[in-house]
Amino acid sequence: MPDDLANDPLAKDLRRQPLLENLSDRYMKYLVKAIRTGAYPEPPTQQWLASVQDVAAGHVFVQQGAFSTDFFVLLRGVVRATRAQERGRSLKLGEIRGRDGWNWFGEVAILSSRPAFATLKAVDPCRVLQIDREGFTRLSRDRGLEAANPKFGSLTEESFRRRSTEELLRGAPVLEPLDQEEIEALAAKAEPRTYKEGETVAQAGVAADGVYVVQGGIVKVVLEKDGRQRFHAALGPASSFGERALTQEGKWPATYVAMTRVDVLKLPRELFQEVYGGNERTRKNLEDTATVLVDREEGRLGASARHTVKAADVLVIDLHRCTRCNACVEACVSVHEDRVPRLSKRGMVTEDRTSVLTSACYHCQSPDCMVSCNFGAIRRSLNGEIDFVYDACTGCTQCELSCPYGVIRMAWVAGEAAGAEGREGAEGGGGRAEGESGPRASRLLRSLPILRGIFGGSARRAPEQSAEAAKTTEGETRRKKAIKCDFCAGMPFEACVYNCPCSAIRRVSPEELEFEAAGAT
Amino acid sequence: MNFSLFASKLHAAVAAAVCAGALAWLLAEAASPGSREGSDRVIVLTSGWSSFALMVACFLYVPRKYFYKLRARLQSRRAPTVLRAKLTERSLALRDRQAALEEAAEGVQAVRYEVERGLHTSQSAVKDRVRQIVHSHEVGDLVRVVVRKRAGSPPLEVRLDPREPLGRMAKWVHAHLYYGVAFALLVWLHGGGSMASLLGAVLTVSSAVVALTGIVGILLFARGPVWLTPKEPDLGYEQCFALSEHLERKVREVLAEKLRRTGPEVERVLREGNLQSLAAVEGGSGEEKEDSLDLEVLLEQRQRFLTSLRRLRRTKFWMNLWRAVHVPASIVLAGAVVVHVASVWIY
Repeated sequence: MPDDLANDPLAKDLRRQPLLENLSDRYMKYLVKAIRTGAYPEPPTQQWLASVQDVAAGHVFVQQGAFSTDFFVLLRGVVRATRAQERGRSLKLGEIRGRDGWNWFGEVAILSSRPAFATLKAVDPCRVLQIDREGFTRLSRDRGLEAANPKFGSLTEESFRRRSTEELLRGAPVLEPLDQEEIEALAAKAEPRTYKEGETVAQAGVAADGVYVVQGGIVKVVLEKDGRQRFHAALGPASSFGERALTQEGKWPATYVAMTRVDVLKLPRELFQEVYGGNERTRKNLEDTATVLVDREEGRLGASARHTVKAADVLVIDLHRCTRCNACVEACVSVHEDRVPRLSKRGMVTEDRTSVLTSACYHCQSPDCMVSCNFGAIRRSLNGEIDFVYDACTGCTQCELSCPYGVIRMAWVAGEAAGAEGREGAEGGGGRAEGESGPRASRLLRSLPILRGIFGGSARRAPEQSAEAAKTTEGETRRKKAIKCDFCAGMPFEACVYNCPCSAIRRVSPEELEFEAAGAT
Repeated sequence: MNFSLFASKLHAAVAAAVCAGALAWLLAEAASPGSREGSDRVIVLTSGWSSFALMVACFLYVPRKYFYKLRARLQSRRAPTVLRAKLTERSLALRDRQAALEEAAEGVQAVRYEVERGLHTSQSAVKDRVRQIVHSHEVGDLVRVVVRKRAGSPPLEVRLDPREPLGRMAKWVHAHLYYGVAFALLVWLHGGGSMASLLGAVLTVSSAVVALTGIVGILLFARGPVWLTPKEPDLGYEQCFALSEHLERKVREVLAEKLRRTGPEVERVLREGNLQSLAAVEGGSGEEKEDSLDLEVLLEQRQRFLTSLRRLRRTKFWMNLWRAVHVPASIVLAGAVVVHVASVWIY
């Protein structure tokens, strides 16, 4: 080791890290220089940046749902990983401690190019080494003569595999009841498998041997009836199947075939027994969830659930009742955290031009949007509804293009850092809701009919303009994401129906609609 | 015509009962409206306080309406704690009690089949039966039973609708409508249309204006959409403005190009104001001819679209004009009532 590095306290401190202990002198020299200067060191042989920071407790390193391009090595302190869930609940995923095991994070976001799965926050005052994406790539992949550090690459690869597997398992509906330790235990023993295009993953009639979680590719579900094969559904990344392996019934109801090259994680039946061991409550929770999933798959919930599961219904606007007051869109804006209206007043107009079937999600049996999403941001929930995992949405527009009904549209939304108060002007259902921008007092003034003209009603503002304005609003991070009407999922009522003063908008079952149409003709 | 705006039987009955009671009392006492003589004083006080109560009921509609208009959310920290807690509890209950809800829905489905087979024809019997099912599964606090008559088969529609913490906006409109009319009648009984003092005149005139504009408004809202719909192009109202701006932009772009090529002549046509003849200004090369054709098509499209948009805007303007009188008159009325009540209280 050259003298200058041997005597350098920073280099010595960095060398104590398991990830950096074998770092070649060349790279260590560059790293120390980059930290000291805060710029690309001379001569410019490489171009990546690094810094050592001391942060106070409560500092957020990575925000759930945000794109992070930095890699962190925790030198001192404790960082906690939490994941915000529906209805404001928060799930603690674990803690990372300085000089303790895998004391680094950020590699999953860099290697997968996916938005962060969890928020990472300092519990104590922390000292971290922050390396940019380019630096991380160099350190982990340089295997030349003056290799950066073979250990760096293998360790980060291992942590990436384990952590991304845990993320994947956390998204499988059947594993919802499991806690973090149990998920970790499953992830450690899950069997990764790859199937070629056309290969059968599971055969109908054979005993189900485990739960499969799709990592990449598309699995086709084929049902056989009266000697004929029928395409039933397509399962994309982050979907799971094989829940019946956890129930008493145990046989595959359909044949699962790889439509493309497919990577799956297999969780054998015995593995679950090992994981929950003597914990009777976990075993029961898992079996109950699996039973619900199996029942749904077999359509046993079909008829009864129709009137409680919102997914089966259609939103209809009666044009002969609607005064175009926009109350429905305003209510829609109010109930969504990101202030983006999901309701689209566009849709199929009936022949007699008296009703519009709004563009609400039809929750297709074989959802093209889910198949087209490469980031696992579209999943099917326990109710059979197609849900967006907004944190995983990159705004790539693939789902918008693939939706056959034009239900999905892209909107600019406030980023996590900007908080829920960020406002948005979305194209579509009434464009930007009236009087949305500006301070609260001015919005109040503009909402009054007489003063709206004086203060400039926003109804005349073109949707494109509004969306453009949303992009340029100062002080807010914005990103594009896919939105669709979700029937106010998680709410006990539909805000538009509930707030329509003229009873013009209502939710009806397809049968009811059919019946009405038949009556009208 | 949207008759659902008058659909609330409960509010109609309460308003009618209040009005009928007041009129009957007045006739029984042989008192004249607004008279302060002898026993009339009791009538005056009763009608005064009753109309004040009705006015408060009418004005409660405003915060309910603006709760969502101002982007308030029941889940928001600014929302009243009781409401927030109620909503959260309901959301969680809907999720946690999904199984019970599904079982109840299954029971209701069985009733639907029975109705379809003609085993039940009485609306009240079906409602009682369904209520019993809902209560036996202990989900009565989450859903309400709706049984409606309908033409054709099955003769009854049975639904389980979620219960809402603030009540449906439509119901508030019904209350506002019926209590508003009752309020105007009681004010007349109370004041007798007095114009003797400034305050009396303000109260009489403003209450009459509010009631009349309100009635006009509700009739327009009941009938207006039927006029609006055929005038509306295939696009939504907001998209109309977007398309209008898009067309204008395109015309301006083509026009600018034309102006660059044959400046003086286009300027002359523009001065004359006959935009349609612009297309004929240029001959020349194939590309220029194509531009002219584009402009012609664009101008025609724009003209057609603007005509229909103007018609739509005019209809919308007339449909909403009453509010320009109704809202300020209501504010004046509220102020005058406060002054009146305070002065009566003090003196």
